[in-house]
Amino acid sequence: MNSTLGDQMLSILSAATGTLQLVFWSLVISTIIGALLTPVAVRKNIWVRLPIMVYSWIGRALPPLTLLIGFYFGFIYAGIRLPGMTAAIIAFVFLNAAYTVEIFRAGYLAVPKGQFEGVKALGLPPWRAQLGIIAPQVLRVSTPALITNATTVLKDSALASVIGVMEMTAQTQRIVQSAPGHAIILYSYLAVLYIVLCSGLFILQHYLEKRLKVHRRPQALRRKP
Amino acid sequence: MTHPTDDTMPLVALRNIHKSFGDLEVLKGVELTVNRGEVVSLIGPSGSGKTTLLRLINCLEMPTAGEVWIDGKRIDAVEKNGRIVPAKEKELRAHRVETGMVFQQYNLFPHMTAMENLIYAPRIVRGVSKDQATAEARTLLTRIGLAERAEHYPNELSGGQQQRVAVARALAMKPKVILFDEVTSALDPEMVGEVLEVLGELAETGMTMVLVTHEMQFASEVSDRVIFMDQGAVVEEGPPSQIFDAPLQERTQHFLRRLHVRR
Ligand SMILES: Nc1ncnc2c1ncn2[C@@H]1O[C@H](COP(=O)(O)OP(=O)(O)O)[C@@H](O)[C@H]1O
Ligand SMILES: [Mg+2]
Repeated sequence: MNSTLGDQMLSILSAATGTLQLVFWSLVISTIIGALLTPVAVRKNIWVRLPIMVYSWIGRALPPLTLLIGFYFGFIYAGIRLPGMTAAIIAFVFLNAAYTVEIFRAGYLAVPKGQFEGVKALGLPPWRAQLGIIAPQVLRVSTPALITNATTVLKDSALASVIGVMEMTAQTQRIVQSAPGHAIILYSYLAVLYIVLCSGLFILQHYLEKRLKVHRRPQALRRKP
Repeated sequence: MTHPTDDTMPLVALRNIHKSFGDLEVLKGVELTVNRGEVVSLIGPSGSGKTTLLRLINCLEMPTAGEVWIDGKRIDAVEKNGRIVPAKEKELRAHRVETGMVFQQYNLFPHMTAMENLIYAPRIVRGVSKDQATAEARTLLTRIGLAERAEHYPNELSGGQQQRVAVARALAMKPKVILFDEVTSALDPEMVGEVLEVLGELAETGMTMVLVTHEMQFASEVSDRVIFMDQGAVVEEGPPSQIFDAPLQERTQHFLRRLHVRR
């Protein structure tokens, strides 16, 4: 490979779209699934929520690398040949939804009992109460933990190269292997790219916390200003 | 199971109410009637079942035995095909709209401004338009002296202000009766007065009110009737002058003496 340093950096940058694609879809789908599982996960009846507890336990217990390889070759054994990217998204959704439902469950349990009584006493229909009153409060306490999780997914996405997903770490490795001259510069460049992407998540967190008024603690007994 | 409504019929009637939590029987055959426009205070030692009784009126708790009647209609159970069956959650919900409740801990929605707290349920439950709900909420906020705080979030308000907003939120639903469960107990002493003032003004408008309270002075001023409860039963009831100045029952005398009530 006779390319200039500029070309090499550009090709790493274009591989960042692979990283972004993987992380974006994994986060979006796992957040939706986590949210959909939460109403069941917070039910009092242990038998109703047991399947979700078992799933969440397994999803959090397995290393991401194991899940990536497991899903990729699992599908091949089942006769389904998925593109590496699709298999990787499925693996990360499986992993991250397990964390997400735990975060939402904890957030739900943190909503004061009085809020549930308040909506009941007003005669609000359950689903309007859940969506309009309870869910925003769950989301509000869950945001910091969700973003922490998202940064983990971003960093773990580098592992997806083992099943042939073209993302930025794999691309850097490939370039350095064939032309080791710029190794230090290229790896530093890679580091900067991760920092930039992570910063994007932190900015999202800041925005969400402002929108959701994360710092508005319920029932703070503050004195008259 | 409805009788023709007439204005002489009690608005709230609890008939021979028993309530147990597991093995613990906390209400042992209680009768309670509240007439239209009447202000009734429930007093008694902690654990005597006052909160439970109040929560039975709007079916936040269901009786183990006995009947709950509101405005001439049986609420806790309904007649279906000639048999009496427990009311469904949906039927209870329709009933709760008519019985407002204010809690000790305010329970305002923390992610909504005072105004949003007031208009949310009327819009959804009563189907009121946004403009109308907002106009009515403004009137209510003015009445409780918080018109200029409409756009503030609960944590930007003092405890007393939050509780006044909670009263207004209950009023916004236009209930037939409002239940108050120790609404000043969580407040700093200097904020108790402003909340009691709002309740006193409300009583003067002819609102039907049931209050659980430890504010004996206030109870004696606003109540038409005071009910003293102990160990899950009504011990004595009567006009405030009787209960506070000349209680007939030994247990009432004992309770009031312990509170150092001197008038
Ligand atoms: N949900 C519940 N489960 C079990 N016991 C309860 C419950 N609610 C109230 N109790 C018990 O019922 C009794 C009466 O409580 P409560 O009605 O709150 O009394 P008060 O309001 O007069 O202090 C107390 O002994 C209390 O511990
Ligand atoms: Mg109580």
